[in-house]
Amino acid sequence: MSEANAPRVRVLVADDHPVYREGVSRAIKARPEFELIGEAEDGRQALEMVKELSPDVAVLDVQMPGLQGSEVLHAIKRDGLPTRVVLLSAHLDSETVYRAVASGAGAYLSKESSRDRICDAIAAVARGEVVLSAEVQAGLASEIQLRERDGRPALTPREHQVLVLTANGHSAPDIGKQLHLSQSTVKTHLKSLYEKLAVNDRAAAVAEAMRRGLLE
Amino acid sequence: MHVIDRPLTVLIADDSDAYRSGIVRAVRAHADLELVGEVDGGAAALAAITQLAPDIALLDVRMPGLDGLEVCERVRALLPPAATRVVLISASMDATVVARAREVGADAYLSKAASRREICSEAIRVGRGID
Repeated sequence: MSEANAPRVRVLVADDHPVYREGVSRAIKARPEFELIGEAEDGRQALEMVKELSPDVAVLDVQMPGLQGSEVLHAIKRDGLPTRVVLLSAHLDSETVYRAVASGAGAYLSKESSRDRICDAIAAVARGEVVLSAEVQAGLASEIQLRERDGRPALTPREHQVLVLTANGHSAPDIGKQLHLSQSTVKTHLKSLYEKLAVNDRAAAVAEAMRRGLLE
Repeated sequence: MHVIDRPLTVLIADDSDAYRSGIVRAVRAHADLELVGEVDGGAAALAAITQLAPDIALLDVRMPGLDGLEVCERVRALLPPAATRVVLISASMDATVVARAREVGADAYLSKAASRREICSEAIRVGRGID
């Protein structure tokens, strides 16, 4: 099928700021590959229109009264609706961006993005791509790193020593001797390690610790 | 109170292209308003206001570099009080920001939730010096 005959991307725009909404809507109407099928002025109305009209792409403001854009996104994903979501926000705090991307947002852009940029993102998201504006990416990366770190179990320094010696093939009595600990204390540390790593034996503990990067 | 019969000249400053274009369109369509400039940042707004002395400056509060409040404060220091009326527009209606707007000498403070019609009406109200 030639591009001229390709079906137009059906787009819904939701923003509680009418001037901004109209600005985005007009830009969408000006692009022949898009069809603007509706405008919503709050999140609840947006969700109703998504359910009723099944747009290809919903462009949602993150901060809206009633349901926020991110909550509309969550409902769309929860209900398995096919509509893809472009989120626009004046606030680019990394946690909000992370949650939106993790919830399945197709794009997350600053509201300061140019209308061309917003339209390009709509087209890309309609093709199944993910678009994150440059100012969003650094925050997202740092949030992922933070969560990766937090996702690791916090081992005490002593548990870490026991883990390293275990990984090096030392038995519990050996470890006790090296660390000047009683065998029962070493076993207590091992038991705590198993719990934190959600495993049942030494081999699994070492494997899991390696997987989580605790032995690097 | 001073009455101006000609259309009021307006400068618009907002770093959001979509929002700015919406106000630009509204001002252009309004017989009592005349657009003399649109800029996408605070420093450019300050330069344009001091050069053009528009009757009304519609300024976004949140802009990179100089924000709308800082622009307003500097305009007040540089130009006579009646030269340019300042309308600040913000997504936030936070009481401290609104109080700050008053301190820096803004003539009006509007929510970004305002319609184009409301923004134009407010611009005309302050521009005509009607309180």
